[in-house]
Order: sequence, then structure tokens, then C-alpha cells
Amino acid sequence: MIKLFHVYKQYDTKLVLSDVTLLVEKGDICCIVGPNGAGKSTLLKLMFCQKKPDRGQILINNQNVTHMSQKAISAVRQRMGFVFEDYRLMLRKTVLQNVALALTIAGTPLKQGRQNIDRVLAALGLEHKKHDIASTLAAGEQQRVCIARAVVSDPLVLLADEPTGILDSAAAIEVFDLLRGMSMRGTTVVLATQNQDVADRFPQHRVMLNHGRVTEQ
Amino acid sequence: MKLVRYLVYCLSETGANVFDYRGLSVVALVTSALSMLCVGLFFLIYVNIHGVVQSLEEDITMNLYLDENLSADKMLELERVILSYPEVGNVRFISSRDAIEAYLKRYPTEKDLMESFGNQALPASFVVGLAPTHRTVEGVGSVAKKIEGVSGVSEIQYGQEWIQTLWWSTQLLMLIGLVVGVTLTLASIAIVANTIRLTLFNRKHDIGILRMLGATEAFIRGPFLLEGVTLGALSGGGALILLKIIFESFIYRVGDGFMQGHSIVFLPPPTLAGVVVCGALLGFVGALLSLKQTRKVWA
Ligand SMILES: Nc1ncnc2c1ncn2[C@@H]1O[C@H](COP(=O)(O)OP(=O)(O)O)[C@@H](O)[C@H]1O
Ligand SMILES: [Mg+2]
Repeated sequence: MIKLFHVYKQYDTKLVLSDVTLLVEKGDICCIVGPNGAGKSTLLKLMFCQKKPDRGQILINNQNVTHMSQKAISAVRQRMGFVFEDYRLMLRKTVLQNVALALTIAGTPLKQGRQNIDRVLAALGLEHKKHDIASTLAAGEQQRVCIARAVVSDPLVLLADEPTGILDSAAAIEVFDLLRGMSMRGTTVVLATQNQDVADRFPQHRVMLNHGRVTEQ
Repeated sequence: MKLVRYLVYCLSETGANVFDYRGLSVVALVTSALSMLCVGLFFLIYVNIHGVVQSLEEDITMNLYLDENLSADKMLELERVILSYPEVGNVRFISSRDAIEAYLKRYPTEKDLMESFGNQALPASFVVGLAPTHRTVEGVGSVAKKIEGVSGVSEIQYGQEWIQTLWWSTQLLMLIGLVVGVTLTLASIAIVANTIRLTLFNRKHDIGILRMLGATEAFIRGPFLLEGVTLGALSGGGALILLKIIFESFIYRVGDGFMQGHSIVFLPPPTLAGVVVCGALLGFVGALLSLKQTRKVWA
């Protein structure tokens, strides 16, 4: 569950988020849609404690994350998955090493972890790339590895920033199915996209963001 | 289970770090091994000379030569005084005659010479043995100082010169060893710290990712601390191997002739283990230092 109360965020003099209030229930999939520069990425970064809001409060699973120590932030992130816009893979490591890292950090039991890796890599069509070095992968494959790493530890909250940005429609559908499956099993999902077609696939809970303001919910 | 997985992670990260900077790691390894070798050499020499000093101290005795014509009463009195010192274990009287006999037994050809001096050719003396707890160069020195003022004693002899020289040389050696050791240890720590700082910068991007995935500071530091400990322990081990080679091929051969009767020994096993542990500790401190320095950069 994610709650935002009157959140403001400013970079230097530019107001990027203005009075954003939002509620995403447990197991819900919320799709934030808006044009380039609307503040979608910033909104997700606030939820991920990567940035601090200037005003307002943010609650993740009833825990106020607005003012937290680095240590507490680590603990929160271990229960969250984040699909980064720029993937953030360890390029010298293999696909398996990249994905397994999330399990090592989250402390997932080894046996369950192995099952999760196989399941997730299969769902994203990456089984045959398991032992490839990340830097040798195509961009679309790197994006899927990033998704695999975000979901492999069965997080309570999944934040995905343009997760299908450069995927072909078949791969994108695989990803959407994976997200729906996760939400069905209780993961709270927030998805940010500038693509209206993507947004149309998640009509249950759509949030329009324009110039940092929620214009339609 | 969780810990095992983390240890595996640390090992593989450390391996990758050392491999990425293998040239630098080898340089760090060799320089700190050589530093530790120097310290080890001092230690080896110290241990051996100290051993000689100790065995010489074991049968340390003093000879108190008495004034000529000292009366029997005075001699008894003197013996009582000397026995009352806590440092003294036993006192044996050697009369003038006994002394001459002993001398002649050793050098029978000098009989004529001795006779020309008469009965008093050699003075009577006390041979003073020290109590076990005071059989040291310092112990014998303090007794000598006390007896010096007592009347009736004309001369004190305890072969002080060369025992004392040896004793001072061990003290000096220890001091030099300490100074050199501390200097080289600091240098080694700096070298290890520098190596790890470079690998840290090399991993800057990856560390950022680890933070994003919820890794704690302790989790992130593990591999770098392990790298320091590994480098340190390896250089300790390397230093010991070099020391053993030098010992077998050089010191042992040259030294055994020089040390007459006292066989030269290598460092005892607990010390060997101590060197490796010290190396590991040194590496740990080096890693900790570099982690402290870099924390500000991307906390
Ligand atoms: N670190 C930053 N410093 C300054 N301005 C930023 C920073 N990050 C984003 N912005 C600005 O904030 C606005 C919103 O950015 P972003 O949240 O990335 O939008 P979106 O993801 O919806 O495209 C943009 O105009 C961008 O230039
Ligand atoms: Mg964005």
C-alpha cells in the first residue's frame, strides 16, 4: 500500500511535483501516465526514497518514509522492486549474477530463490541468456534483466519506470502479464509511462500527470 | 544459510576486485610482504640473541675478591650480609689456597711463577650465585651496586662487559626493530588502503546499484574488508616464506659458526601464526581507512 499526501518537489527553482495526493491499495496496479517531463520518474523516486519531498508525507505499507535514516531506507528497499529507466545493471556480471544479487541482499532462502530465478527468467524469455555478460545484451534484453531483478525477490511493492520503453509488443505483453501476476499475488504495483497504449491496458487505476499535477484520477 | 550466501558473494566480489587490479594487488602484496619480512628479520635476530643472553644469564655468578688479611670474623660477617640480599641465592667461599690450587690445576706449567708470589698470590673470594628470579643482567648489576660500598671487598667481577654488551644489543635491536616495524607497518597499511581505494572507485557504479537494491553499508563493505584481510594475510604468509628461505640458505649456515654452541632457531610457531594474523589485521585497518575516506564521496 502506498499513500502520498500533498507532496511537493522542486529542483532548484523548477517545481516538478505540486500537491500530489495518491492512494494505491495493496495488490493494486496503478498506472501513472503523462508526457515527457511531467514528473513521473520523480514521483517514483520519491516513493523509492531516492529523493526527499520538499513538503508532504509518503507512506509505504503504513510506514512513513519521508524522513528516514539510510539504514531504514535499505530495509524498506529490500522489500521493494524498482525497474529503472536506465536499467542500472552491473555490466561486467552475468544475467544470473545480476538477478541473484537482489536475492542475496533481500536474504531470500536459497531454494526459493533458485525457483524464483528460473520462473522469472522464463516469464521474461531470458532463460537462454542466463550466463551472458550483461554488457553483451541488447538494450531490450537489459531492460528485461532489470525487470527480472526487480521482481525476483517477490517484493511487497514494485515501482516500474517505463518498463516496456524499448520492448517490442510481444515482449511488452509478457511484462504486463508478469506485473498482473505479481499484483494478483498481493504486490502493489506502480507503473509510469508516457505511452497511452500502455496506459489503456491498465484502466482500473490510471493517474494522469501533467506539469507535476494530477489532472485526472 | 544467509551468511553462507553472503560469504560466497564477498569471496566472488573480492576475487573480481583483485583480478581487475591484479598488477596493483601484486605490487601491494610484494611491498607489504617485504616490509613484514624486514620486521620478521629483526624479530628472528632478536629471538636468537635473546636466547643466548638468557642461557648466559642462567649461570651468571659474581666473584667478590676480598681484601688481603681480612680476618675470619670479618669474612663471616661479610658472608652474612651478602646472603641477606634477596637477589642472592648462595655464597661459596674460596680461600687463597683453593684459588692457587685451582689455578695450578689449569696451568700446571706456571707452578714456579706462583710459588714466587707466596701464599697470597691470589686473593680469597666469594663466589655469589643469584636467586633464580634475579639471574638477569639487571639483577647482577643491582647486587654489584649494593656490594660495591661494603668494606672488605676489593674487586667485583661478573664478566659484565660482554654479557652487558649483548644485553644492550638486544635492547637496541628491539628498539630499532620497533621503529622500523612501526614505520613499515604504517607504509603497508597505506599501500593496502590505496589499493582498496582504487578498487572502490572502480566499483563506484556497482556500489550505487547495491544501495538502490537495499544493500546496507555493512553489506557493501564486506568484500572490500575481505580484500584487505586477504592481501594482508597473504603478505604475512609470503613474508614468512621469504624469511624461511633466507634463514635456511644464509643465517643458519653463517650464524651457527658464529654463535658457538647456541644453535640458531627459527621463529616459534605461535609467532608465525602471529605474523599472519598481524598481516590480516593490517589489511583490515587499511581497508577500513579507505572505506572511511570514501564514505563522504558517495554516502
Ligand atoms: N536531478 C534533477 N535536477 C534538475 N531537474 C530535474 C532533475 N530530474 C528531473 N528534473 C526535471 O524535472 C522534470 C520532471 O522530470 P521527470 O520526473 O524525469 O519527468 P518524466 O519522468 O515524467 O519524464 C523535468 O523537467 C526534468 O528536467
Ligand atoms: Mg521519466
